[in-house]
Formats: sequence, structure tokens, C-alpha cells
Amino acid sequence: MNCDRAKTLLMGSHDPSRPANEVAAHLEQCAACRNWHEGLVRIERRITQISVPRSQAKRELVRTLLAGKGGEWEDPSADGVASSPTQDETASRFPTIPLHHALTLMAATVLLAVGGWLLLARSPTPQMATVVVRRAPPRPDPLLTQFSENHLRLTQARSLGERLEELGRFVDHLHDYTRDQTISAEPATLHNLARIYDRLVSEGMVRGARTLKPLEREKVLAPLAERLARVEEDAERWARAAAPNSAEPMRQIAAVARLGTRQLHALIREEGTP
Amino acid sequence: MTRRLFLTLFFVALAVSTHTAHSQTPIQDAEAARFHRNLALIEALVESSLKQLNTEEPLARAEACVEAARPFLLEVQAAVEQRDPARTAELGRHLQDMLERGVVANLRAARQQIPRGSAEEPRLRQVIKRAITVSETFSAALRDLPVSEDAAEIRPVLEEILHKQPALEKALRGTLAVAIQ
Repeated sequence: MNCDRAKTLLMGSHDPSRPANEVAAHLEQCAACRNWHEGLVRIERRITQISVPRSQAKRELVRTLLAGKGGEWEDPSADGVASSPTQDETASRFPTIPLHHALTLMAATVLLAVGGWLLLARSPTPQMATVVVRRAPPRPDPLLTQFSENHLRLTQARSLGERLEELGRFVDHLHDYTRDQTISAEPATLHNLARIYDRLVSEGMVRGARTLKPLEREKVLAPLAERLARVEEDAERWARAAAPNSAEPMRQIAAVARLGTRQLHALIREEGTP
Repeated sequence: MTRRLFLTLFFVALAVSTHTAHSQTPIQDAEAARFHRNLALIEALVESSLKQLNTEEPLARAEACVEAARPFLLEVQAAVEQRDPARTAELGRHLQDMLERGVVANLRAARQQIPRGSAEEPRLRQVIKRAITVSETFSAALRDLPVSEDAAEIRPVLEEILHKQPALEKALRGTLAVAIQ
């Protein structure tokens, strides 16, 4: 299989994180496609987080309620008139309501809308749940899928250098996932992710690096140190932009990455000393 | 009148802020619940990877994979009990991959390295037997799962997993047969 064919199949696949056997075989051999594939999986995962425009429905409802008393108000756009009515024109067509009545009516409407929303948000009906189930099966957990794949690659790696490289991918994916969750996830989740990140770097990457043969260190550890330095910078940036509760785990990740970078550089320097 | 209006608006604002401060959207709630449900599995994969990092021994790697497979099996069994085909399929795929690419591959390599009658052979046999138990329990759980019409899309995935199981178990038993010789 060539690179173009592999990419075409991945683009057409329903879940690019689980490539078909023939594509997976190609990815094993081709580093460029493997990088491209990782990018594709990352994009696929983030698509679900694109924000949706806010609805104007509530404003429209209030307008309709205020305007619709007696059914006298008509939407000017219905007549094909492009411009909105002037204040004077609108005032002449609206039924006249005293200001305080209008405001009380608006407040009551908002109260009803909010009450209804709170009620619906807290008690989804069984029928609603059934509809969701029928629409589509839930998407697989991206972190579990990625970790499962990383774990298998690490299992199949033939040397410590390859395993450390795979661990580097583990760490990158975990950082990317944590960063994507910074805005929406609850602090407990972020703290757990930061704790796992710490384990992978300090108990995995750095400890493994110490047992690496001195002559291999520069080749294997320099790219890992570079990755960690990038993560530190990125995590710091996200910590500055995040809410206080979410910022702390990102700072922990940045601190772990900083320490890991230093330790890996120290090991590389050790190799250089006679 | 103005006072009544302000009071109404105050309570509306209070209700909205209380709700938004203490709750998330249903999607965020579902994401958080999923993360906590999968946390033990994620930790198992991390633990297994850390164990394998510094070992060149295929048997130790196979052992680490079997250890990691156990929590997946427990979660698959729980998903079957809860009649959740989507979760069964998702975790079942991970479990099967782990047994196939992690356990069988390393056991074959270990079998090449461990001579018959050596001190390591009983350990090899033990790991193989544990892997077979995990795989057979997994197959039995899959066969127990009723798939309702609501989850018709999942059925082919589950069937594919179940279809692959005999070959996987045959491969595992194959390593045992050679190890016993």
C-alpha cells in the first residue's frame, strides 16, 4: 500500500483512530503517514468541541409575547421589506402598554423560561434518553483508545529507545487531551490527568532514560526533552488563560515537563562527560 | 411596583447563577462520568506500560499485558450485566487487541526463548493459563449479551469480536501445548 492510498482510506474511515489492518501495517512502516494519522485523529477528536452559535429563540419569544397581544404586530420581513421598522413606526403599530407592566411581564416570562429550563435540565425523561440511544452509539473514549494503542505499540517495541519514544507519544497525547479538557472538564478530572502525566514522565520517561546506554542518550533523549519543553510552554500558556481551578493542574503539568526536560538534558550531558 | 420588579429579577438572577455554578451541561456531565468510569482502565494501561518499559523479557511483557487485561474484562462483564452493548463493544475491542497483539505475540516470543524443563517454564505456563481464562471468560460474557433493536448498529461489531475469539483462543492454547511438551 502506498501513502496516498493509506491517507485516502483513513480520510474515508468512520473512526480514523482504528485503522484497518492493511492501513495499520502501512502506518507501522511509514513515519510520515504515522505523524499525519496522529494529526488526523487529533482533528477528529476536536471537531466535537467546536462551539455552536447561540440561539435567538428566547429573544424571539419575548418579542412575540410583547408584540402578539391581539395579533396586531406583523413581521415586516414577511412582506419582503428588508429594512427594520423605525421606532416611530413600531410604536404606532404596537399596542400601548405602560413601561412597568411591560418590564414585569418580561421578568415573569424570563422566570417561567428559566424555571422550565431548570426543570428540563435536571430531569430528562426516559423518552428523551431513548431517542439519544437510537440516534447513534456513543463515541469511543478518545483517551482510552489512544492509550490502548500506545500501550500496544510499547508492548511490541523491540528496544528501550523505541519504548521511550512510544512513551513520549503517550505523554504528548495525554497533554493534548488535558489541554482540550481545560475549559470544560471538572477540576477533579484535570487533577487526575495531571497525576497520570506526572507518573508517565517521572516514573516512566526519566527512570527509563537513566537505564539507557550512554551512547544512545543524545539520539533518544534530545527529541523527548524537546517535546517536554514544548509541553511546558503550552501548558503554561493554557494555565494563564484558564479559570483558577483548571489552571492548577495545567501548572502541575508544566512543572513536571520542566523538571523532566532538565533531567533529560542532565542525562544527555552525563553521556558527553568522559 | 419597581420593588416587585427588582425582587423578581433578583430571584431570576440568583436561580440562574446557582444553577450554572453548580452544574455542567449534560455533555460535560457525560464526559466526566465516562472519564471516571474509565480511569481504572487508563491507570492499568499506564501501570502495564511502566512495567514493560525496562524489560526485554517477552514473558514479563506478556504478564504485564494479562494484568492490564483483567480490569478490562471486569468492565466488559459489568457492561454486559448492565446490557450496554456499545460499551461492551468498545472495551471488548481493546481487550481483544491486548490479548492478540500484546499477550499472544509476546508469549510466542517467550516460548522461543524459554527452553523445555527450564526454571522459567512453570511461570510461562501460568501466564498462558491466565490469558486463556481471561479470553474464555470474555467470550462467555459476549455470548450472554442481549442486543436490543435500539443497538442494532453495534451488533456487527460485537459479532466480529466474537467471531475472532476462537482463533485467539486457539493461538493461546497453541503456546500452551508447546510449553507443555
